[in-house]
Amino acid sequence: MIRIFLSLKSQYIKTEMEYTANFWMMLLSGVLTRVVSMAAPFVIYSNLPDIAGWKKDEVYLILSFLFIAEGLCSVLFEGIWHIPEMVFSGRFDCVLSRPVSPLYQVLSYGIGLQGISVFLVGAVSLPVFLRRLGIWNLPGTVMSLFLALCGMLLCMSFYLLCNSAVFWFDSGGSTSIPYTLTEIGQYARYPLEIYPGIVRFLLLVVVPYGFICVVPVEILRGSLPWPWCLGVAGASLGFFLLARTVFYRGIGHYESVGM
Amino acid sequence: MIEAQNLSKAYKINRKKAGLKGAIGNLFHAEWAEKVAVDRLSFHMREGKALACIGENGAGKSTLIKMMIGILTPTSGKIRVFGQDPRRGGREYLRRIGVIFGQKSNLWTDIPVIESYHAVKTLYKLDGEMFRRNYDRVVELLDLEELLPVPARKLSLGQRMRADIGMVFLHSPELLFLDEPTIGLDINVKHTIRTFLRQMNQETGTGIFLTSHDLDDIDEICDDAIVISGGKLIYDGTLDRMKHRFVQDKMIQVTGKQERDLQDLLPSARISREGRVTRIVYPIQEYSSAEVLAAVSGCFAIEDITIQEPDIDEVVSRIFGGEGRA
Repeated sequence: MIRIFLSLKSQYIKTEMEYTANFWMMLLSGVLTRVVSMAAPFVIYSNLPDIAGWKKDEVYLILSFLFIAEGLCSVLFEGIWHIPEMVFSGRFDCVLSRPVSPLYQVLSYGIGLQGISVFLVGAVSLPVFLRRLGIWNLPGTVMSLFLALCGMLLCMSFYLLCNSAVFWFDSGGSTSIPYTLTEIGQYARYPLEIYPGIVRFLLLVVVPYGFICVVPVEILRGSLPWPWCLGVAGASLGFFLLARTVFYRGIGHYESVGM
Repeated sequence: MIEAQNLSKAYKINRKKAGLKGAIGNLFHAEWAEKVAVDRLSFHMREGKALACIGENGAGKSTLIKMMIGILTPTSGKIRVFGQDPRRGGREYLRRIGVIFGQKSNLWTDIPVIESYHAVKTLYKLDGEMFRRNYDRVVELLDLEELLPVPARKLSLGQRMRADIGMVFLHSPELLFLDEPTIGLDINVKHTIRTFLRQMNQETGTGIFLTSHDLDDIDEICDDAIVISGGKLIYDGTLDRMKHRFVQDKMIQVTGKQERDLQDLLPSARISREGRVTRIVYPIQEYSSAEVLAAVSGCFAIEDITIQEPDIDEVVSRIFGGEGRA
């Protein structure tokens, strides 16, 4: 199963590579957008000494975690974003008529090219800023890897949850709900202390981006004790189970199209 | 093999009001209407048979197929395939059937056909020897050799359909559901596909449930037919009997100069002329084709002549028009 998953992904990459110009443009745009978003903390910190006691490099670390999670999700699980289209075009019928887990079929579908470069930006900047913060040691690195994987799972679960909403809508083709919700998640690029309580709650419980990128950095910089790692793992597992349940409930609700 | 009893399916549809005002109204409260797609259908299909399902657009054919696959839950009534409820059969059940929706491809769009086939082998956990045997057979009979390295999205419609049909046989399904498998295909591809399906049905005993608009499809592949209209069953029996029951006329079209009056020879025929083309519609109970041909050749300097069987659309419209029900 995993072999087929990977071989499908490599086939998709091969396909994308046939369009050379598009391939490089996508990779480049992935790098550019992320580098630009890294410029924001740079500007802020050249005018302010600190944000709620956080150093500049710590904010960069938040971004690194976010990029790794988003990048991996886009490369590995891009198919989630195709659920609305599959449902509205009736192609979901084909998914349901195969004796293979629908979730597996959805996850293995397609590839997000930008994700490759987004992941790379994150994967390069993570060790750089770990080193600058003096946590480039064995426990720090192991913890970072673990937290990044949890972040990926959380990110995937959240995407799945948002996109499964289409099973209950009759909007005929497009829904902007998933995009809106992930946009909200982008507020979690900064320490949560700067936000009022309600937003903090939102970013941790409803749109769990706080657990993807802010909480890991809080653990690494020591403002949360290390057992919080388990909290992050628990949150991602919980969200995954929730998303999976909602997805399968949605399938039960699926009415297909046409007569 | 398939057994349906009083099977019904009703959809809830959001009744949209017209105009911008209606659209705004819809934002606040939606009106739901019930649309019955399949209405108390009962029929059964025996092991290894090929059954055609005929009906106009929106008659409920696809809904019926989706209930038999287990994608949709019936509103009421009972459906059993292999003696069990498809909705409960899970993956075990899906492994025993094959499904083709004519307008949607089962192939992975972006990857070469052969990779799709290998993916099926792994995902269906097929035994290597069985896969090899089925693979060799479909590649040979459907002439797939040169399509194998091509990504599915680069195939023409006909090539794609051949590849799709080949793929569905890889796991030796016991029962096949085909929803309009030859829609939009040219005559050669249709022929290849029909011959192949017929052969698989007869050699391996694979049951076939087919919906189509194309009488030739149904003629060449199936022995039995059910006809549904507005979700209701209006015919269930052999194909031959159906044609006899619903098709009462045939038509001959002649091009050429008329030299003598034909109406005297064939008093019950309806004759119409349009320029140099004469159409003669005659009841098959009264005249045999040979009689009509003899009469026509006596009266015309024939340049061209064709005999037409009413096609399925005509049969179907006749059935649904109520003409044939008497």
